[in-house]
Amino acid sequence: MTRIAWFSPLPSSSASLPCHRTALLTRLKDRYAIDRYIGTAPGRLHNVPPRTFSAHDFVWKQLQNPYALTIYDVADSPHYDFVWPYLVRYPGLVVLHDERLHRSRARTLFAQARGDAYHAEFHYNHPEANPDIPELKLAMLVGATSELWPMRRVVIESSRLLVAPNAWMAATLKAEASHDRIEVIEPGAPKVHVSPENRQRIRSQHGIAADTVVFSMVGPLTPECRADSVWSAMALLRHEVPQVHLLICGEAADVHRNMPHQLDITTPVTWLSNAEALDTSALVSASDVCICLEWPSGRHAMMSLVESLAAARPSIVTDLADRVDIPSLDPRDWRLRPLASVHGGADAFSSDAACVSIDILDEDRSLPLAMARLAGDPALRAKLGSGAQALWKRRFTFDRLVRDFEAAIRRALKISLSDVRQAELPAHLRADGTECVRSLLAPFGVWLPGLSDLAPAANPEVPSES
Amino acid sequence: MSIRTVVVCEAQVPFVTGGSEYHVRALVDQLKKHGFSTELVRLPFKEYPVEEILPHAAAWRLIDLSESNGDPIDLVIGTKFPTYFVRHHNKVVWLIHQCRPAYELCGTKFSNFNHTDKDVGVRERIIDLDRQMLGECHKRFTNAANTATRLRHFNGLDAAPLYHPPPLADRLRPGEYGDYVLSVGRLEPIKRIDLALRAMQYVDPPTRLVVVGDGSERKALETLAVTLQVSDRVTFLGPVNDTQLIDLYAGALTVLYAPYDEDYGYITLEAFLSRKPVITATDSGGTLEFVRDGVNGIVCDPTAEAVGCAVNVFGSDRRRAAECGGTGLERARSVTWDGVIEKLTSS
Repeated sequence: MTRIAWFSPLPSSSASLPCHRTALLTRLKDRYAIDRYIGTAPGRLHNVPPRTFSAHDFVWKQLQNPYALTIYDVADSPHYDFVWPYLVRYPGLVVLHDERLHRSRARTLFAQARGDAYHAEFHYNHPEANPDIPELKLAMLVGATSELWPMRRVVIESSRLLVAPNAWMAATLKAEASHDRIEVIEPGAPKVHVSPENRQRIRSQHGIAADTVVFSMVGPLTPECRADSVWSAMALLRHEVPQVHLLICGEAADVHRNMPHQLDITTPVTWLSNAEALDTSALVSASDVCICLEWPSGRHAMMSLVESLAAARPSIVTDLADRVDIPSLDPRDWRLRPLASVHGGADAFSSDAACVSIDILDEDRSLPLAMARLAGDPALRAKLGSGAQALWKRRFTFDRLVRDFEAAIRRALKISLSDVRQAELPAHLRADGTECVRSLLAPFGVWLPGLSDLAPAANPEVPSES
Repeated sequence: MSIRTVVVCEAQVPFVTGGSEYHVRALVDQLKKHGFSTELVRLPFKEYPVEEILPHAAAWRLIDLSESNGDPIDLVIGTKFPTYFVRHHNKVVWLIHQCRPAYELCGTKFSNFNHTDKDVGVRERIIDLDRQMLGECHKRFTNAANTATRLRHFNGLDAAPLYHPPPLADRLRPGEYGDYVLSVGRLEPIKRIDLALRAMQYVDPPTRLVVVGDGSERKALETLAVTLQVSDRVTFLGPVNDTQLIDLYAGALTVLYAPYDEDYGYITLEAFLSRKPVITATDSGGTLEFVRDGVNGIVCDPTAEAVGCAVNVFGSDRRRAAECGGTGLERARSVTWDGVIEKLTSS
């Protein structure tokens, strides 16, 4: 069986992408011998399928019995920081979840006091940029550097095969890459079984009336997922439609947790812990509309939207370039938005809207409009829910995800490591551990290609006694 | 091939003396007793920062030990990392330990290797070179089964454990089962002396803790004893001479030795030879090759409460301490130098 090493962090909640990765690896394990590598220390690794190890173990396992392929999940999040040194040293199939990687990479290098390495990587990634820009980042003066300069070239050029979560991102990457080994694998989720029992249980557990319209938000609550805008919209909505409730599951900074108090909307908001959200189907069952907004700074894979589609729930999304092939309504006129054919499939011509999308430049007006209409129009919710499920069946099922990954793995296995051009990478990324020895020996005129070249050949005789 | 001249290789951390230094000196003494012309060759070793490790390893590789002053050197014995990098046509290793932070300690608080490009590169190179350099050895022995298991696990190389007695074996003697628990060893994080201090919170008075040894953690451990409010029952003796140590072993109630994943550990055998039961932990590695729970000591979880309770078992029942100590004595007496030198030097 083909041996695969898959670098991917463990899930922190069922709503997170790593959780879906666990399900995917479990499905693929019948076809491939997969070892999952995570960044944490040993000790909590047992009973997590498939076989899971600390990434530290990869080095000696790879030397003893090399894997046919390494796969790396990469995202702009601290959970994925551990992947970088392995990704560059052992090129493999890279699954890119975010369009930009600058923030997490800079944070990692700064934490290690490696300003020089950050400089070198920035200039490799963006040779056209003003060389003083890293100084701004180092001085923490300009947060927008992460958005303007994504720092993904190292990852692109170090990949045997690169997978993007949507066609828009793939096109963007291809425009920068020196190769064409880039494919699209859209996210996928298993069907979410919405049960009346779960709906009733969750609602009664949190004091939500049966006829209340519940909006839900899943995932870490950050400025990028438009928490502020949702709070403000809820404050407006409460005056127009009293019977609404916001169900939030995810970690949040204090500033977001306190905002409902400031806006006097404490009552219709319920916070769920990650532990409570482990049962995604129960959470979705309890809600009527899923809010999946996003500022275009991250371009994250849209897992919460896919789960909403899989549950046949209407969603409110941001009208971003990477989502223009999702059939959606504009709340300003309730017409179907023109579909772009970046996906190139049937959806480009579908008229079944699956969600409501918000023009980010008109968010203050459009979001309350969308929420008010959806709260008061159960027929529209049902129609959008039906469209959502149809879209999920066409493009976002878990079975399709598995098939796509199997195909990508097959292709990656055929790509030779010699096709990966890393010669121009910054020196610290190409380090092999002997730099110090080489520099010490250089004055002697010795420039060793490898220390072992001095070794005489020998056939060890292993003693049998014990 | 007839062996006449032997070089034993030692990587020594200047100003630090521990088990591996005793091991090497004892080996040299035994080789001389067996009639071999023996020389100890030492190079200093420093394992931080990680980029310094390979230059120290390369230093061993660059040395020519094939002959000395026109006479051939018949056998070279490598001991701990990186002495076995030495070049020789007849190289044998009696492995004390490899570069542990790059191996089994990696990912624990005892390792300075992280998920960085440099650290991953250095680790890969160390592991690969170890496989080659240890693979060159005509025979591979280890100081304990634990060390051999690691070598098989991480490098895919077989080796045979070859036990030897501790340096004070001939002088250690039994004594009364006094009112103190004895801790012996370098005061370094991996020896987990802090666990002994924390355990004192659960140890019934009047049992005391006597700590022998010195190291980088001493000040922090003395402060910890105060913080834990156990300092009135803990004595830090620092380094002691052999006579004092023998007396301390003889008068102890029990010996507490619970390092993290020890290679071999003389302390266990020295305690047994003093007829004292040993308290150790489930993750203490080489000590578990000798300590049997309830037979010659107690094997407990590496928690303060578990260790404290184990001390109380012997504190409240000295007859049991004597019984376990007696069983330990029998076990330790079976470990001798008999056959060790023959195995290392036979062709």
